[in-house]
Amino acid sequence: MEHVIKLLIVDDESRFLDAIATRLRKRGFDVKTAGNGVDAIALARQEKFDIALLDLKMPGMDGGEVLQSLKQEHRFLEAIILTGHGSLESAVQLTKLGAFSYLPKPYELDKLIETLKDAYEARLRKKFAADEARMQKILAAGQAESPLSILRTLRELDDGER
Amino acid sequence: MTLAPVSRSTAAGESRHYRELFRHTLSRQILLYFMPLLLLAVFFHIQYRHLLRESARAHLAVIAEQQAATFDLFLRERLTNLANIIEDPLFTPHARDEAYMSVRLATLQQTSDAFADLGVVSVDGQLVTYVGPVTFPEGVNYHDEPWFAELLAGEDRSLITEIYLGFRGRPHFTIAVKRARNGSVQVLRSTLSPERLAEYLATLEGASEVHAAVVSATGILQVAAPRGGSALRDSRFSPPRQPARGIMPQDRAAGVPEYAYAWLRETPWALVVTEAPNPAGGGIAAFPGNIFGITVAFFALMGVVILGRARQLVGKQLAVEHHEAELSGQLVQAAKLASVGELAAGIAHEINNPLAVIAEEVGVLKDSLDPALVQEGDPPIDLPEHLHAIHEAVFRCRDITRKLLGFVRQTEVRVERQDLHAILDDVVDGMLGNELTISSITVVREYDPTVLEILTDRNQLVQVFVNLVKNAVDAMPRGGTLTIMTRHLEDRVAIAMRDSGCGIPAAQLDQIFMPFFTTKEPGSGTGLGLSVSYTIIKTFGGTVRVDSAPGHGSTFTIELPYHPS
Repeated sequence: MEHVIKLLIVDDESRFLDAIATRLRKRGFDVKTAGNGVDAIALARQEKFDIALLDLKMPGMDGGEVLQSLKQEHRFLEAIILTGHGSLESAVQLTKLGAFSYLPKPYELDKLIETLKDAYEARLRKKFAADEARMQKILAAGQAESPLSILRTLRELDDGER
Repeated sequence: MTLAPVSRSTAAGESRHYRELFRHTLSRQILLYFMPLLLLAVFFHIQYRHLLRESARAHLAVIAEQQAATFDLFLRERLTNLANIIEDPLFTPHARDEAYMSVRLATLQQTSDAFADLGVVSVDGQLVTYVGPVTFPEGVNYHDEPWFAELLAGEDRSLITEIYLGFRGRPHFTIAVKRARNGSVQVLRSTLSPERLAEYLATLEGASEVHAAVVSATGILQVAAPRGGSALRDSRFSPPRQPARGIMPQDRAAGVPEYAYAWLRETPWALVVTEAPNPAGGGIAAFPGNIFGITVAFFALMGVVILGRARQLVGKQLAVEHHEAELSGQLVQAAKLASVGELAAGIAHEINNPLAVIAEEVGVLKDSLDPALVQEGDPPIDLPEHLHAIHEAVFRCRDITRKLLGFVRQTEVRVERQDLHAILDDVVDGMLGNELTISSITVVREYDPTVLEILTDRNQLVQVFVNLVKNAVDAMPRGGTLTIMTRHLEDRVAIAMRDSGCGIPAAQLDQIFMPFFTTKEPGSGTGLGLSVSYTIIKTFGGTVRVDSAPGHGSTFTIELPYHPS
């Protein structure tokens, strides 16, 4: 069975949440959503996610806090910050806190998928840091053209290695 | 627009301000320059007068002394003249010879024209021989005359009488010498003319500067020069015997001017001099007058200089004030732009979120048209639902841009009646509502329902409230409570904003209203918000106060007059 990349999307904007979940599911991702930081952390404890997409500005816990909490509990989880805030400094700050990358809203879906691919790659690189042969394959997969096809290859590599 | 009357009253206020400033500066300058100068001038004037007085007195004393010495000498010479005649061996034989005596008189008069006549008096007082202008009735006898008795009885061989009328009935002096020979005593007498003596007195040194007079020990005037006051009268002068010379101060009660005196040796008379009033008005006595004129001229000149200087200073002061007002205006504008910059970052978030919604909704719709993504069994897409979401997001964006423009657009000051509570609600619900929600800040309103409408510029007041609320938000990074209170106070209204944040250290309390003071990280705050708020409230005639303690939050209290002056 093909491994499905599991995504956790956290945003206080429910319409946005619904729409992006719909679109990513159509593209083969396993998507779960949370409307705030507390729900997100609870959800992450119930099931394992590969990548979390976090909104930066949220009532209650903000993206930074959720990020720190998630990274603490899940070593291999990669996080991508989605933010409408134009400030670059907070993004840099969050990268230091362990976020893989950040995307300013609104973004192109292709750009998001590209970033998801990179994040997933990073996750695998970490996971199989010692395995040179797998590393080579991962690098070879990077030569392919479409981000989606690369993802497919990577999923195969990741299969069963959670 | 109702700006015209405002600007007129401002012009009137400006001219009043100018006059007031000018008056202040002028009086300050006058006090600063005139007062010491005036005191100095008065001091020196008094000193100078005193010195002048002293020198005049000394001068007067010297004249009195010199004149007394000369007059003494004169009298002694006259006595010597007479003594020479009586000592002449030829005198006794010619005692009754009128021709001889006429020749003697002529000789005497060559020596001094003060001699008027010559007479020989026998020891019993009988006038034996007489040559001179007076025609006596027969049998003139001096036996009962005080001077004759005094001469015969006294040890002195000579005598000069005080002025008296005598047998001839005219004021004159009698000068007499006695000679005892062969047991008999002979007396030779002459008359000294008061006119001639007065003339002589007038020729003495310093006579032009003074009024000189000779007075007897009892104060009877003997001779005066220049001619003034009649002889034989009380001169009002009564110089003391001791010391023999000196200055007597003015005695206004007796009408006696200040005078210098010197006693004579030959007679018990004193020579008295007083300062003659200077008819030309020049000389040392008039000098202070000149000084007064010069001083007045100098002061007038100083006055002109000070006036000019005051004008200049006031001009500069006004220029500085104008410049300051301009700067303050620029500061407000700069701060407005800066806070727009700060707002822009926040607003970007507000706009980008609905944009993201739109992008995603459009994406969903596009996906539904992409055959590669459509799968069998997919539920049909709810088109109206997605279109509605897009529409809603678009108008969310529009509202935000509209608010932003509303904040920046109006630069002119527009004073209108405003509902204070509506403005506050607008700030915390509208403009900063999202920010407050995201920051998990609960807004508690404690509005005083008796607060009246306020006459103010809405935009500027909004700017102040936005600044205060944003500061409160920054002070509560983990959320909290923002309490907004209003209170009606007679002619004013108080607005207080209390946060439950970190508070302000005491050391920073007096700095927070200073421009560019910020505790935020470089680049994230301009440090202008509070300073501009302060400036705005000040221009409204209000006050801003802060009460804060670290850990106990901060309360900013604004007091505004209902009608700004």
